[in-house]
Amino acid sequence: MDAPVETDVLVIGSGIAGLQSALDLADRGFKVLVAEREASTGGKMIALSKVFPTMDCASCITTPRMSAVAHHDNITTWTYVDVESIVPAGDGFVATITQKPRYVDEGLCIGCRLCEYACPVEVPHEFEGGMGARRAAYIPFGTAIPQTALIDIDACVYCGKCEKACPTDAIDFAQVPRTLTVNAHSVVLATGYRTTPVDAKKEYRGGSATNVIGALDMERLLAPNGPYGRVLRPSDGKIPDSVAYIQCAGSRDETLGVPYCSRVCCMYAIKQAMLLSGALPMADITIYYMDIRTFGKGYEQFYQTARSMGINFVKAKVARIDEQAEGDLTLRVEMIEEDGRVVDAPHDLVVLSVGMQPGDDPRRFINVDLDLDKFIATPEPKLDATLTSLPGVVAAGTALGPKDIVDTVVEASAAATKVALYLGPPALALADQTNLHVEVRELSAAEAVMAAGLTEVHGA
Amino acid sequence: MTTTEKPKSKMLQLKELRGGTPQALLDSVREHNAARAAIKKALAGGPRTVPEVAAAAGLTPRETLWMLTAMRKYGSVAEDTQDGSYMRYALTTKEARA
Repeated sequence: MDAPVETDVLVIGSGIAGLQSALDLADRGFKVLVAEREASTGGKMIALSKVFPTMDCASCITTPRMSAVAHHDNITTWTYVDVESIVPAGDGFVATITQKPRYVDEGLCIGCRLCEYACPVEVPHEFEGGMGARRAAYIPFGTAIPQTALIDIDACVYCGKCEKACPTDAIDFAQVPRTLTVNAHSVVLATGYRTTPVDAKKEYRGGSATNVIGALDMERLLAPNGPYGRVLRPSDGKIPDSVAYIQCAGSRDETLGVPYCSRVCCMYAIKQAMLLSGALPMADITIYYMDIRTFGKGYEQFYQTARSMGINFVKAKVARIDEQAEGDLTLRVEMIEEDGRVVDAPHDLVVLSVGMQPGDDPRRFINVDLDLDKFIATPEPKLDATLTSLPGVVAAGTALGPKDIVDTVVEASAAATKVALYLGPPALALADQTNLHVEVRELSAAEAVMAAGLTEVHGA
Repeated sequence: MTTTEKPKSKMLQLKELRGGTPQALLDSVREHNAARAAIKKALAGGPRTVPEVAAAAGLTPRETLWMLTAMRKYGSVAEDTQDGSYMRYALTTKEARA
């Protein structure tokens, strides 16, 4: 076992919440270790096309943060790791983390992708919702950080072509899982979300009908670096003439165990519909909804803009989807505002506005309380929304519940502030009295009040 | 055999440790190779849409699009002009010469 790594803060997850918390803490002088399950940082956000309501390119605003984290002097990033356990010990925590083998030496790999080009095995690419391909030896995606290859050993045919192609001898089939130990003073849980599976509602035929896709799949179709480079339907490459969205397809549904509203689905569907009307100017775009919830600043105007652009908003309940010959789809629709009249509506492509569920069960590795909805519980939801039941551990973003990027980033910064107050001035500030002494002293009164609140809640 | 292939021996050790290559994976690679060859043949006469390539290559349109997507990513196929509701795909110059 390697020697324990000492850090001020351990951040679990490197989606936009984990990235923001890590940067805020590192900028204040704390040593931060970011642990990420996937082979690249960036989480879900890096796969999105554009983000509402500003229509910023998601990659353009996520990549700089990924890069800043990767290059920050106070941040160490571990990708492709599994967190096994985080247990309180003394004033802090001991984490046990497994580094999964990439079968590529991270220090030697230069990200040239020659191994990927040489590899003869192609499998559906998870990053593209399976609509695109990757090889067994691959770099996760174009803007992945680190730009380090890995070998999906389950898809490897042991042909040795990657070894021959690698100009730096980075391929290393001798790698085995490594157990790493981290001593941290505090922990930020930013474990994110996953979407309700597209096949959760059998009557919508997601997972069996090729042209019934999830909203994250549509994000990839709309992204400029998406699998087809344009919006096509997956069954036959047809440019769709008619696209339908089904709202609440995985939220507000007791039968799925997801009784809550996922908050973001109305807005992302409206955003995607607007992007689609740009990508497919001749296409009819229909959103079948129960209620439209536009909760944030500028969101209602965003919705009204979509209506004025000619996107069809139909208050209706979709009972089922039938797949016709050649992949066409027929939706059985109950028109709520037309006395419940039932119509059969044909569409080329259907997007299920799937909801948000917890990305991980953190109790697998840390003893924090969860809410009934399985997201991390916070004992002070109004006044200290990032606290968890475990002193010294905070959470941020969709690990706490469904929310959009705006709220996630705010919460991530709040979590970082809570950790900073909990830890007191970082070692760096103490060491560099000339630079930071005044700032620390000026903050101390306010800090004392807030830190007292933190201690009270935690009973510490 | 010489003993110069030390990394390869690690690879074979790992292969043995993991119980060899699953037959389903080998079958999938063979199917993809056959599909790729059939698609290249179908495109040899010029740009074609997904349904046209599928019909010529004896594949489903869904498989054809997936293979074309992979071939486009790895540089042997490029998108061509639009034909009605479909895009045409063509072999890249490099691939056509090969």
